[in-house]
Amino acid sequence: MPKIVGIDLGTTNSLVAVMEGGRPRILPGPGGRRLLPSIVAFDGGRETMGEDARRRLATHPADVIYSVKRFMGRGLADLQEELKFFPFHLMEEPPGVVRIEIAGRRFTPPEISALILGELKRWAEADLGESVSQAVITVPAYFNDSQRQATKDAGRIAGLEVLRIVNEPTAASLAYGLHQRKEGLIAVYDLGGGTFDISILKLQGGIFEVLATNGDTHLGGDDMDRRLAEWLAGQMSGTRRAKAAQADGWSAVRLAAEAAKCALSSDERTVVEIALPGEPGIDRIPLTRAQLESLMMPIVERTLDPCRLALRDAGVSPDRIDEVVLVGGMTRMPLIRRRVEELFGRRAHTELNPDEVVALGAAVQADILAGGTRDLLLLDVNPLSLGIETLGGVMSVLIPRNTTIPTSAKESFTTSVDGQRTVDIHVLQGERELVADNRSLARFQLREIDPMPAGLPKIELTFMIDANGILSVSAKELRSHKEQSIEVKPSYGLTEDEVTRMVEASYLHAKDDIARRNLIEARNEAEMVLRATGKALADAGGLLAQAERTAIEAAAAELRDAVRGEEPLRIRERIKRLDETTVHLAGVLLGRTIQHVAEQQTERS
Amino acid sequence: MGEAWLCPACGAIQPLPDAPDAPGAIDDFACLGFPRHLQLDERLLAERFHERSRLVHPDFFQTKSERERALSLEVSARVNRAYRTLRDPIERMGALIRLETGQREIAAKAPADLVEEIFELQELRERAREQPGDPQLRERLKMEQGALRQRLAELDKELQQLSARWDRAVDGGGADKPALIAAMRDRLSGRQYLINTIDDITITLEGRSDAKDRRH
Repeated sequence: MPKIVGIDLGTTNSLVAVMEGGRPRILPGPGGRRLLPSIVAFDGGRETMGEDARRRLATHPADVIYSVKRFMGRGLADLQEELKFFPFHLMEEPPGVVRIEIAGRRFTPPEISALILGELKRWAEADLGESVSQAVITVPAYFNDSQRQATKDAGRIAGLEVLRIVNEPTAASLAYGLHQRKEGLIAVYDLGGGTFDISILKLQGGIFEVLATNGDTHLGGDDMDRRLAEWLAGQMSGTRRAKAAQADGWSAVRLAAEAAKCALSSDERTVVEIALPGEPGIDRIPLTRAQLESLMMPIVERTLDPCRLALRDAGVSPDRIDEVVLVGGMTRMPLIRRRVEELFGRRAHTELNPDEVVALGAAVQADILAGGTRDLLLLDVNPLSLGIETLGGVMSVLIPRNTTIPTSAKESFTTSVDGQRTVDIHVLQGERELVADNRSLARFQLREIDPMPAGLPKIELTFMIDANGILSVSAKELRSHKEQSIEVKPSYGLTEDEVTRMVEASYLHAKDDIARRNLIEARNEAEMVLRATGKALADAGGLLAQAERTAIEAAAAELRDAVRGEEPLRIRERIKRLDETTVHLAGVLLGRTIQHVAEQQTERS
Repeated sequence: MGEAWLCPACGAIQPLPDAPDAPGAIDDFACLGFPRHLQLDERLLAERFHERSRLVHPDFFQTKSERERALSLEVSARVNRAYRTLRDPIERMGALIRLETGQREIAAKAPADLVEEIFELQELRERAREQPGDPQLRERLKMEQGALRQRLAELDKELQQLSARWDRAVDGGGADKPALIAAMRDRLSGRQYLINTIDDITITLEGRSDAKDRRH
């Protein structure tokens, strides 16, 4: 049976995992890498993902997109706050569909996410040795309908049938539950690169029942990096500070901030070194953990209110929580651990790698859907209340937040004027009283109502939220016995047709992509081998006969020649030949190293 | 288990007669296998919910036919709704009243003996809105709110007693069921009114306008 993979599509990093023999396993990429940085770079029309793209971020920030998860399923109006901090050029085209312009091309956020998913798909296929076409993808629990729909579309564009959208903290609890086999109330605190979630679950007899969830889809490690980068820029001299405020300068400061933040999770103090592109000199700014913590405190505090709200909605006090689980790379920060442990009054679990636990849980859910795991069941909730606009611009709730999904609600509508043929329906998601403060999911019109006196038609709408947390609406006119129903799928901008076109385009390009990618990989490898050979030749000095040196130099020149061409096979062939020519040289250098080590040991003793 | 939504012969999932007036309609109580009792054991309720979820949840129908998948979605949504209603004693009672009387809405209504007090309270709130800083007005509002909370607790106790009497009536104790339903309905209306009024006082005390900034 084809395998269903579990994918954690993160703001900062993404992972893919699969269940094997009752245990989930991360599927590594080339070189044994487990994390794929969620970064896409465009280099003269071809795209690179992950580490390669990250390297380009330092040199060509204008060609690189990161943190695209923050843009998923959102309109330009939602993104105004974000845009101040991202160097990307965004536009709406047509109105309602956000596109990012990069390297002269325009992409919707799902298309960028699809490139990351496509890379993970290749990782999985290479590891498993079979093609992968079905996946479970995780999203923040607090993602709204549009953000979920956009994630599902990204999967389709990448050639993956998304069997289920699972909430990240719930997935993490599955991995933990499987690992620990415990019962009781658990709180999952999940702080990632761009989003924060808190979920309260009850574990009983293999059932993982989410009692309440809360969060902030706009809060994460990115905000911390940004805050620290602003502070670091403030420590610089006037002219350099101005340079740091420009796009490529800012990118350098941000990367330095991120590195310093990670270093201070284990060290008490560090010196942040910042080299600005095109500027001589380096800033060296000392930073202690205490300073970092006082900068981060307000951001960490912002996570605690959602925790309290989730506890209240679950109807439990903090002391009734049996286990606290930390998820997401940001929870490595000692300040966060401390504050969370204070809130719940107990030590937090960190046995599983906080970067990997979500993907592992997604793999478990994938196995449940495949019919493999039968004893576990996730009962999740909808994170946000769903309702419709009523008189006076007020939202009337049909399905309250934290209702177990799947769930449905029926509501009847009628006309207010004699002979009225249409009724407008406005579907909303959110927790606020006024329509304007909530997210508009869909507006649609019930049409072709038979002309009747006002109040006589009876149109019944059914709102169904499926196990993915995604809404569909169907309508029936009861009075005229018109059994025709309509189906409405809320849209975040992209139409069904547009997604289908993108899916087709990606199939057409897939063949091209593989060839292109083969070439890039061969070139990268060639460059690595050439660098190593150059260094070895220099190190060897007089240890090498002139004839041998000439032979190696000739093989290297041939490889360089192949790299300028477009044929990956030729490149690989010449890498192999160069490798063969340098076998003796490698032996000589290795022998010398061993001798050195031996001598040093003799000297010491 | 003899569930209406599972074929007794083969165990396959079956369509659900969902409309309340449809023949063979399944109410929230029947959905989780309970008689129309108001005092339900929380643990047993959760157990039944989990049992049924294991039978009908879409996770277990992923590899089945499209029709079965659609049915599992529908039935699973039904089971989830029933659990949500039954696990809260007040929601549970509301569901029972709707089932027994066929009336949908239970509107908030001031308890008859409180009408005068509530009229005075409205005036008090009005004055507090005009003079938001007045410590005496605030103190009086807080006292009134405390009294209402006390009254709410008494109502809840009454509702518990009514629940016990109802369960005995269902089991054949001979009490007048329609009269019990009417009494419960009356108490629920009053209860909702008290809750709204207590919330309104909080809003006045916090100096917020009524609709804006309010969460569901």
